[in-house]
Amino acid sequence: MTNLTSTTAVADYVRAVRTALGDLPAEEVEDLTLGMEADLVEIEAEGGGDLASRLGTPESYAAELRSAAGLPAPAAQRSWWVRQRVEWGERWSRSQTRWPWLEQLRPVWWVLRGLVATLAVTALFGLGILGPAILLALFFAAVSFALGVRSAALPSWARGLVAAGNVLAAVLALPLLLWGLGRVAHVPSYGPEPAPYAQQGLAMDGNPVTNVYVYDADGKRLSNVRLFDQGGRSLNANQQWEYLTDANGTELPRARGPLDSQGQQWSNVFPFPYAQGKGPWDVPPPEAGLESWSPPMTLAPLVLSDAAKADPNAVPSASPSSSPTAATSSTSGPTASSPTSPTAAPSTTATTPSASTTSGSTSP
Amino acid sequence: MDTTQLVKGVLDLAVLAVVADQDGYGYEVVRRLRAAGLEDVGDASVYGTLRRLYSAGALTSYVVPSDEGPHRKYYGINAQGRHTLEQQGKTWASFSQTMHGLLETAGVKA
Repeated sequence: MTNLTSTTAVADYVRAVRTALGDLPAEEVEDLTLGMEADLVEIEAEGGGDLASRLGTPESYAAELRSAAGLPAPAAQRSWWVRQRVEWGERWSRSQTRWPWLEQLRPVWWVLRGLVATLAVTALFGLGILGPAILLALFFAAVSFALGVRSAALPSWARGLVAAGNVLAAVLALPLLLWGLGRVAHVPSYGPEPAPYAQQGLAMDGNPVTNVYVYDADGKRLSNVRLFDQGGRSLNANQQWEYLTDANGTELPRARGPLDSQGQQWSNVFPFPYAQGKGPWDVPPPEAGLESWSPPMTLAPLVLSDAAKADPNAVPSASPSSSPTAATSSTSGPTASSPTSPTAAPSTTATTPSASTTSGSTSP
Repeated sequence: MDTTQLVKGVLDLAVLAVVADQDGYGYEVVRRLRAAGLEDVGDASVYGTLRRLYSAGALTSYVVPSDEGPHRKYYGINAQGRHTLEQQGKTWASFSQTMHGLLETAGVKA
């Protein structure tokens, strides 16, 4: 009795009748045509020609129905709004026949339009996309869902509002969703935004330089060497703030540079101990996960040209620190207290400084 | 003479008469009318009449859901409907008698 072809023809006929009655209030149309489908299926099942030959055109059928029911004939000139309502209603029911799953997608749309409303409110009032907006989204989605479920029971003015809202939501959905996604991508992190990131301290080809191992031309180690750039600014070690742990899992506080006798920290004095309490030439254990190189005790001596050898004597006055050659031992350098330094030429005492700096940086 | 015009005048009465004993859905009412001899009755006219009688309070209506197909809408008579049926029936009977006598006088066999 309800084979597919008959119901399609029946659905078409019922729809056409409804359209012809479209200027009547929706409840009236629904009332007039409820049960019509079942009856038409029955008529069709009796055989004897298609529905139009049995019942006349849907339009004449509607006209007969109207007059027998004592309802007014269709207004000769329907208003634009009524025509739109009829046309869109027909389109909707046509697409429902063609794509039955559309009906099942309606709740998805109800929720979606709630989210669009949230985005609209968020955009209008400049609320943060997180926090209140999430509560608002839940609220709007629930309201929109409830409206959808009860749409048939709403008074016609409310249905008109909902229809207008639907059109608005459909138009705004894409731009607002894109806007919302853009906002989410730029969610401000909590706490102050760090200034445009620049590495603190020494860097080489963009990589942080956390230590500088210094050898003299004879290939001997130098300790407590103070470094400056071309403008006389301290060349500070790149500060690494992540925590270090040793093999036992104990935290090692990071070194910030050796202290001088006044308790001031110097982060431009190299080599730089990798952690507090470590000597400048100590190599971090592999567990620390740091890039590390084990500096050899000595390097092969560099045989310099005579001109180059002459340089050190010419430079002193130009150097920011008045006597770079004596830097490790003189002035208020971090190891000024070091008793081993008086041998003013650092190159000659290369083996001892490691002991002296250790004491210099650990004693505080 | 086209009976369509005649039927229109008495359709209310005819519809009330065929649902007086048993409730029926739209097409069932149409079938009962046709079975009774009102073959020219139009489907839509019957539906419209049912609807109008319902609006006037002469009929009750209820929907019977169907699992496999579209719902059916049944109409049944109520007290007011029975009263209307009785009144209009009497009017019709006397009218019919009048016509009968008139035609008999004219020598026409019904």
